[in-house]
Amino acid sequence: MIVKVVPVAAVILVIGLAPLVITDSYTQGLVVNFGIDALLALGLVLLVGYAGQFSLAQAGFAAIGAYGSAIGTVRFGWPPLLSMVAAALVAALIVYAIGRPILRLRGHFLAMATLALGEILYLLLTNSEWLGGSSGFGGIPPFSLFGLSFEDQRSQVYLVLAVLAIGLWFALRMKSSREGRALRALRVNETVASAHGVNAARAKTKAFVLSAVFGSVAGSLYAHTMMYVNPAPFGVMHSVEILVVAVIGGVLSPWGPLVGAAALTLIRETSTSVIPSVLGEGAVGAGEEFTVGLLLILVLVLMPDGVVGAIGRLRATFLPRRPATPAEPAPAPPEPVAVAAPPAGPPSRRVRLEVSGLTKRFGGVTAVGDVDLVLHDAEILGVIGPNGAGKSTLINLLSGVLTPTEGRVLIDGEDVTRAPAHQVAGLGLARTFQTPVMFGGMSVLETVLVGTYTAGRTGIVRSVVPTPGVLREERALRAEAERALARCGLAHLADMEADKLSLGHQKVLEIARGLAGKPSVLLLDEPAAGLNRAEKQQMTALLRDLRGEGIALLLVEHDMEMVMELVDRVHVLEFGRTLRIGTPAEVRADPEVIRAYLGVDEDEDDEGAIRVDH
Amino acid sequence: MKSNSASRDADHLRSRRWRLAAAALVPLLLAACGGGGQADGGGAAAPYHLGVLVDLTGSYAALGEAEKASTAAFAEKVNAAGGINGRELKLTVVDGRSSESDAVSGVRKLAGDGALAVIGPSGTSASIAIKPVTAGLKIPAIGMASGTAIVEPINEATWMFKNFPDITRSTRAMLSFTKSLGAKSVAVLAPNNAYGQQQSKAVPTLAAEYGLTMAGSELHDPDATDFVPQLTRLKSADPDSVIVFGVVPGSAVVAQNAKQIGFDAEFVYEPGSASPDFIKVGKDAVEGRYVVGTKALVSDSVAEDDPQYQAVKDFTAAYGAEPTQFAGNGWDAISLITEAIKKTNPDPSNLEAARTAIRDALENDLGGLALVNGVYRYSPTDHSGLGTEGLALLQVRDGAFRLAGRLSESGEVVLNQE
Amino acid sequence: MTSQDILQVILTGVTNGSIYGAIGIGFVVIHRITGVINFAMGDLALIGAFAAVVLSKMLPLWLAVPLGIVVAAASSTLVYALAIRPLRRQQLLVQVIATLGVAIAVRSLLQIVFGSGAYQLEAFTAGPAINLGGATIARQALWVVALTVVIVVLLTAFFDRTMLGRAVTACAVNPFAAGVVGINVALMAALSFGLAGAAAGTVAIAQTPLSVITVLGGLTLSLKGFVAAILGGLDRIGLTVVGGVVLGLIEAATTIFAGSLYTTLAGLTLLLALLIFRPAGLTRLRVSTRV
Repeated sequence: MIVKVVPVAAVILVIGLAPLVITDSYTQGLVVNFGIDALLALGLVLLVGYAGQFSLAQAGFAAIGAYGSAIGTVRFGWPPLLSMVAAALVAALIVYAIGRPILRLRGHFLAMATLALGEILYLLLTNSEWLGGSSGFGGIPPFSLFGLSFEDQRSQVYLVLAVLAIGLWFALRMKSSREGRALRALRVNETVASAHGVNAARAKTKAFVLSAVFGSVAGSLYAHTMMYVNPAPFGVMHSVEILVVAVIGGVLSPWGPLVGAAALTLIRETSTSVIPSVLGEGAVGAGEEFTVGLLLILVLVLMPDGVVGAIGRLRATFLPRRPATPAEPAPAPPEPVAVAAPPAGPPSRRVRLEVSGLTKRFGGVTAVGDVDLVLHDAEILGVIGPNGAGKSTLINLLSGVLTPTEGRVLIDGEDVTRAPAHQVAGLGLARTFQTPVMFGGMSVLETVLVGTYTAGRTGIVRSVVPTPGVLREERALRAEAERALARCGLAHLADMEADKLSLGHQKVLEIARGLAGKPSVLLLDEPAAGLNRAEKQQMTALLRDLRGEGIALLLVEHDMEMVMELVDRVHVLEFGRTLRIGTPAEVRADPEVIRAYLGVDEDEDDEGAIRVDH
Repeated sequence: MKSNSASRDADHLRSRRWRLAAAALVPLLLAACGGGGQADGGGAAAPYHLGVLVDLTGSYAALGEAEKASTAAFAEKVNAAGGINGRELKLTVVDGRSSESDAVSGVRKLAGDGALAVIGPSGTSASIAIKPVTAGLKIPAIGMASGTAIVEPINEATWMFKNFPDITRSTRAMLSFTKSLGAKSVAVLAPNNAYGQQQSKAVPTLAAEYGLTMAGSELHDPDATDFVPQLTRLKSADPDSVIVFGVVPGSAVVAQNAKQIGFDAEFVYEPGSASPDFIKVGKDAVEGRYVVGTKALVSDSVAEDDPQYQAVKDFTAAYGAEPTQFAGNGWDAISLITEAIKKTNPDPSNLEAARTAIRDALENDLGGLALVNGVYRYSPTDHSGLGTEGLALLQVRDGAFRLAGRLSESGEVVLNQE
Repeated sequence: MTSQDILQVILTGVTNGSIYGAIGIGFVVIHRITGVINFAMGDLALIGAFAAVVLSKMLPLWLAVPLGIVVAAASSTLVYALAIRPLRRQQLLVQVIATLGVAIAVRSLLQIVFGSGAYQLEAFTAGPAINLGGATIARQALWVVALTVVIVVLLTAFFDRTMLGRAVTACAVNPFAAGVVGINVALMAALSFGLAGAAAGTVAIAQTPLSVITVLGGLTLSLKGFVAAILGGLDRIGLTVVGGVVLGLIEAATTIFAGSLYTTLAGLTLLLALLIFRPAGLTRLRVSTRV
């Protein structure tokens, strides 16, 4: 807890003291500029750091804020706060309209679209006679709130730093909120995040909208401190500069932009005196830009998480919060105490998953062809088959990662054949991945909390204000995550960084993450691959427990010993088609199955597996 | 920013102890104070410290580079000759980065570092943006840009001056000249920035005064290097003459493109084209073309009895080239301030008194100072101050500028008798 | 507006469009092989143009121009080695941001060396503009168009017909598999940067005699080139040039019919509209809309 209180107290102290200590107008001006730049970059961090996309229109959004405030106060006589809010709304609407279609695409499309958007805004302002064209217009009153006017420079320092602090609070709260976790998961791997119920396009659009709102508010502050607006400060080069601020400081932490803005101010201030002596008088302006460009590349190469990321890593090396090596070996998962042995052939089992005629063709290749299967409550269905049999493709089809070419998939009777992954997850289907995907920078507990996404409702904005309702939900999700961890025997690792865990633990953690969403169906893609004998035994026990609790399990696994020991029925695939369905004993005796398996190396990857890019 | 608060800021300017305390508490402020120590140099006589706030990066870099070079040449010349009133001139160059907030920040920095006056900024918008700041900090500044809003209304521009030729007068010169050639219609081509927009807006009213009809008006991207589409559009309106605003190299490329598409109206170029580069880039396409610009560009045009003779001679000797508009602007701005210092002999250790003395002298005591770009007459009601004496009608002949006519007091062209 | 004017629009549009197209090819070649959007493309092309200007002061033009192209290709390759390659384990996003750093560094470095003045190069073949049915086209513009066509032909042949070209393409399709069969993926990526630099540099040099170059020109070149590349689906070399010409024609027509206030606006609006409604550009490529 202290870790959280100290920075907040420090921020309050700085805001309270800075304006008292800094009394000359130049430095006050610098602090105001620093604050505005940091706020702009903070907005960008919500997008880059949380959603993994970057925007080159941040200066354009600042222009909407600045001109919005200027138009509102000067032309319409609105109070500054109303103008600021109205401008931010306009920015949000524009971004929503553009973000929704573009954020459905992967890659750099957003960067490009925002580059164009920023330039379009700039040209519209330049061409608008009503707004004074390139010369802009002045007469903007100072910001005022409840009769309090931020007229002199010192009060402006207070104002800007206070808004920055609110922004920082927002970003910090958001980072550890339900939606924030979802975004951070999304940044690492969209497929996995979607499998836990996160609507990727929607979540990213939200982050984009927030990022623009931050930009707009910063622009409004600019207008009220400069008291004059013109298009020049809002060109694309300023957007690039804001990106530089964010990257240098570190895009993964809300503290990054503060560090980045301070660093850039520092560079600018010192380079004026240093550069002429190094590169000659002629290099004053360009030399500074050169330093900035070079620094950006160097920071990316040497510390890709920026200054804050590098500090964080240093701290982790020298001041580990927990022993770096937890008490190994991990205690065995709790033995099923109350739960009796699986009810053998329960009379009224409910069908959870029903698949008929499922087919997936990639070009001319049929990866899965005409597969029917049924999965009941409290049942483990093993899916086996040689490499390329279509096992992983089957899981991807069932979980909505791939859309079937033909056939139907029903979960609890509901048709989800064409539903995207996040909707399927919402209906109680969870899955794991062949190669475990950990979200870098998240603790084990946070990782599992991502799995509780579908159980919560709190959106980004609500999560920022810790109302009783918000806190209650967060507590409930946390309890659910802790329960899932405990059930899988990982409770003692809760505070570890997830990607530092052993492969065995990561495999179990994936299951815990899936369980956190209280699924009725759990699809497991080779949970035992790469595990040692002891770990396999623990895994077997865990899966048996889960069946005992009534979950319907579909197990894709190469380890025949494990499959035959564990499952109720076996579904054998060959070249995407069903070869045989039966009890382990029946399948083992089947000559066709024996033939299909002869001479097959069991360790190679399945062809239809999703490549998981980190 | 209102003056009451700003004056409080000014009071604190020299309390360096506070600033050191600030530096110790907030690391980011370290940098801000980096320059603080330079304010009071050692030695026998403290130097006169002037700030040069010009754009060295961004879209106005070409202007800022020329302005910086000429101010540096001036300071070198003065210091080699023993300084002014026994004190050296010390310049601090700050890059305004073609940005308004950097210009504002730059003025504050220079004021904090103890500069007596500010030379700059290079652009109109930046000059407008620093106007209230100069008033708050009580530091005089000479903007080297054209916009009239820099020094109007005059009660808001007490500390703000400008030294670029008045737009209306050079435009009048261009229009009256085309009229004298017998033109009936005129078209305008200007860059789409603060300067060009202001120009192209002003032309229709002025053209009407001369009985010229407007045949078209085009704005182009300030960084454009191809003007064929704009010229094709203007050409289809078939004007008798075209007034071209904007600076070299763009304006020289305009000449080339016009030649290429066979647009044979009479093109007249503004002072921004008055530079040797206009001929260097435009080559045979600018042969025979007219430019209204600084007459100092024509080496023999400023006769020994011309009031500007000495300034142009000094400039050429120190700078090593004929003056261009922007280099001349820088030279004239620092000359004006130096002259004001000479007149008042202020004590640089008393910043507030020294700055006030310089401002007052600029406004009242210079009385028609002849410099490179013309004769300056600042007054309490006019901080624009530059007459048309420095301008002339130039023609490119045999790859060099020749004097083709002079400008009258009101800006009409009086053609040379040949 | 006469038919001559319209012809003039077409000639101007095609000339400028060829420039956009060739810069766009630079984007496409790098993107195809490495997935990176190289924001420094225009600035790297300008390095070639400035090199040619400097070299032409001491060497004959026919030697200065190819050497300028070599400089552009070498700079581009160097940028890969120094700024992109070290980031190969990072997300693509990080590599793209690094190219922004490169753009800033290159631009300011050029400014330190050359200042912000204008530079020119002799026309490749002297002589007055050529009259075509009342409209005119500068001789140098013909060079620009012709060289762009040559670039398209050479690059297409290289990727489709040569072993090396196929190896490069293999890296684009599946870097892992390419590595397995013994193709040096890093070398191919470096090659793609070099080819992109050469293609973009060639046209940047060829357009220099048409007007002038200044150190600030790189950003505009990048932006326009990128629109062309998007129209080519960030994948097709020939269609990228078609895209560039489409953009050039739209710009020229906007200037003529609507006025030059809207020229750049038209191009950018086209880019934004494309990204929203047709991210595959003129191609029939499938842009993954779901993950």
